[in-house]
Amino acid sequence: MEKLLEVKDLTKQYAQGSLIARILITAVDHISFYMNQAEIFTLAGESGCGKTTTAKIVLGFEEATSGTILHSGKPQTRKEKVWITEGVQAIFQDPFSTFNPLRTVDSYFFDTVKNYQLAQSKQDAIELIDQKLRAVGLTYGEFVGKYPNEFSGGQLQRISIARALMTEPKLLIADEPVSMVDASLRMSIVNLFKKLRDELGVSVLYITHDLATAYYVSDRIAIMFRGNIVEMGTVEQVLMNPRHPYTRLLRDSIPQADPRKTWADTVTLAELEHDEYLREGCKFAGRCPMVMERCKTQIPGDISVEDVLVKCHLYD
Amino acid sequence: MKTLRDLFRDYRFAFSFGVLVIILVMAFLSIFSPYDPTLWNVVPKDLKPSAEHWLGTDSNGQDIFWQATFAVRNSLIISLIAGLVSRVIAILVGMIAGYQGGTVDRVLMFIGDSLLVIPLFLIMVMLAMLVRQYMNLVILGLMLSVFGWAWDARVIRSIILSLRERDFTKTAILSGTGTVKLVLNEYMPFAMPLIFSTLINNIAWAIGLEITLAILGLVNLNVPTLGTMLNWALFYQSILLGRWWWILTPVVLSLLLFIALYWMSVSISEYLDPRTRIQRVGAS
Amino acid sequence: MDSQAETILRTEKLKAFYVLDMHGTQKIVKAVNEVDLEIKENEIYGIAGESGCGKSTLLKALFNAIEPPLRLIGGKIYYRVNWEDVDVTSLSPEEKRKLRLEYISYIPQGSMSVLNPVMKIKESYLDFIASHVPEQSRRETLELAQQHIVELGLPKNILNAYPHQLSGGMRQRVTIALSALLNPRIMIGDEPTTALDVVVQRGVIQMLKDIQRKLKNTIILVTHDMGVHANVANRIGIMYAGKIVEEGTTIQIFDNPLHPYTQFLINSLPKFGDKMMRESVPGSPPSLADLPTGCPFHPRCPHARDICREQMPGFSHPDETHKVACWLIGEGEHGKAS
Repeated sequence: MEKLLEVKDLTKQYAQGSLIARILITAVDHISFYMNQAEIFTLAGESGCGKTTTAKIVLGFEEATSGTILHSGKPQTRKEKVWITEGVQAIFQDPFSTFNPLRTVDSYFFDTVKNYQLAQSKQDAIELIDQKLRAVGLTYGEFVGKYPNEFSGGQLQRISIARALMTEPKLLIADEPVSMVDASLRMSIVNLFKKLRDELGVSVLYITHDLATAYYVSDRIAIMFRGNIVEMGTVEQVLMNPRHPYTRLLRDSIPQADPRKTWADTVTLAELEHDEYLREGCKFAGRCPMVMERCKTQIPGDISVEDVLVKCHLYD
Repeated sequence: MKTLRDLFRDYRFAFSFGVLVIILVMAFLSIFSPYDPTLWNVVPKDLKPSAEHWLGTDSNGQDIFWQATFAVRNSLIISLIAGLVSRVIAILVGMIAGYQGGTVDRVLMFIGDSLLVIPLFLIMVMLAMLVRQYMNLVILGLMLSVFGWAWDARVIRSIILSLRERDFTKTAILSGTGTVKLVLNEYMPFAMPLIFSTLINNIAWAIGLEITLAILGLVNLNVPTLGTMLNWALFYQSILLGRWWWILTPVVLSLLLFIALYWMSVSISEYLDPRTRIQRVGAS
Repeated sequence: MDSQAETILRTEKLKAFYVLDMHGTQKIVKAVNEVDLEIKENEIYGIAGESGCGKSTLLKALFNAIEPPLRLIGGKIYYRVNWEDVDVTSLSPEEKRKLRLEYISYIPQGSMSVLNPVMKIKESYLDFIASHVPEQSRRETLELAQQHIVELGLPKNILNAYPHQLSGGMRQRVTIALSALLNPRIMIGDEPTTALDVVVQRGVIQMLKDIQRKLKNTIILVTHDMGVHANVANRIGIMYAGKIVEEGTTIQIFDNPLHPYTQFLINSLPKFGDKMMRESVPGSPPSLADLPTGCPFHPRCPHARDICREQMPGFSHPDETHKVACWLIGEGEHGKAS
């Protein structure tokens, strides 16, 4: 079966600084990954790792410096509106910012119906909207005519998913959808992703830094660090048996809801992020507990270890 | 409407609403004027206010009350044209420059900044001297509007620039909305309070500028406006000669108009401010 | 943690409401609706609950920052200063100011934005020190600050940097270090780890624990994330709709959560390594301006009974340190309504 999404050697560079002292920050550094149909794929990592930038490029909101993106085999052209041509939709991090506070939430739904010509009459439109709302656990009646501030964060995020579902997309890009939602409400959102995958065959590109929900919901996962994918494979393999030292650090830092499983040792944090971006060799060398001499000068390749791709000299 | 009721709770709005209603009624009354405002000597000169001539008469032989109705009407026409046309320009320029960015933005802002930087007054004086014979209300209004859009265009542009980065812009794009509709539907509601209050401020500014130009004699003095009335009153030394009814009429009317416009602009823009509006929205 | 320890902060039937007056209509938001707390010395007390339950307002009240539209409707707040109970609501502004930051400090939400962007961090610290420490000891205090920072695991030249040169997590830690500078007896943190990456969050929590261990003071921490409480709190209070509905030691709360809401809160978190289907708390928290009758949780409670709709339960004490307000557990101190 053809891959739904293929990203090949994608790179995005920004110039930062003044005329005199310009530095080139490589936000996304030659990454490649693919997604199948009806699959939940997670891009995980901390802020500054390039996962959000990657999502924006796949969505067509930003242009890559180099590399190709293929949607079902078709290359994505410059400034292509993939939400129209390829059935890609997205939801964002802050549910309260996703909708204009001065407009009713339903106006976006009706706009979508009109712009994509999804229904012929107002009655048909309402039925379609109601159907999508029920898929996320809400009804038309409790939603119509209301403004964003009349809903809770969790509800708004679900409404946001419903809006994305209106055009029956094949790929839903979810950019940190639960980071700004209470921990106790995250399950309802993430369970929805599972439902979309199982019942509607929608694939979800889940961008997050929360490995707990990532483990719970994804099929495959890629861990990103400062623009590189450092480990990629099925979620069982990568998170239950992490090979890259950074993945181990991430996994060990998840706060468990169990007072007997508190963190054993302490963690050192990066000094200035800039330095890590500009490192020669492996970018994690500055804080890696297993760092070797060659890590500081040579960039590790992507090494395949039992179906998992690891970017680390330990496995050379 | 509920909005009007809410607004009336603010004493500033209530006062200005009242004053403006009176002024508009006066302007409307000009239709019924028994005297032709452009003629001289239609009534005896320099009479104090009386039952027959409510605000007395002036040294040109005109009834001051009926002159004032025309003056108010014409000043309002000039300033409304100036205010509305300059709003339209400011909105178009601000929105296009803000949303498009790039070269379009730079060119438009350059034009705007130039208009802000050149000494307005000197240009107005020059233009007024050149165009004096052909000057009518509309032309004067348009002239004023050319100088009134630049500042607000920049402010609207800033609003658009910040709104463009917000997530709901992306939601609108993903909903398939095109650029023009997006800017109108998503951004205009945020810009409305600014546009409203600057409209009113702009009207006040235009009235003031017209008065200034009139006192300097740079407009057609035969057309009664608040400014030209003042000019004639000063010309005939009405202060010195104690003819208070003539000089005070345009002064008091202008003052009331300025205060009313200012208070109206402040109370409306407080009411329409997106921050307080968001609190009110859906709360009932 | 010592159950005989002194109480350092106490509230009695604390009520603080927001009174909003918009264009003629009045809206009353019952953010803190009769709260009794006894916070002890040398402990980390966590307050857990969803957004909109009133916990941020409770913190403001505890910090004695009650300003319109927030009004103190009833109850009292006591700090134990120099072995005496001081009723802080009746203090003068000057006395309040003195207490703040020397005795009690507050870390607001999003405190990474609290640092002045055009001053070096050192200057922000100096500013702060200057308003609380007499002239001659200022330089010493700055040197102490430098030491303090290094002890807490921050890089030593951080005082010479500008805020924008640091990441969000680093700024958060710098702000926390600043609030601990004058050795306050109580530190109050409002969601200090929200919106932080998981490794950075761990660093912030570590720092709070380090500070508490060194200064042996009290930290009151508010967050909706039970995972954070499990890692850092000694005792936890569960807040719902302006009231504390359950309180106990961390182990008691996690091993034996009694209130249905607490059970939901804990069960709705994914357990790493466990793919078993989990559910969020159903429904939504009630609007604090329009509370349900009786127990505010009854609309969402799967075990709601008639009495739950009519009357708010009092506290039952299944254990000396564990209390819960729920009709399922017991009648509480007030007994049933007559």
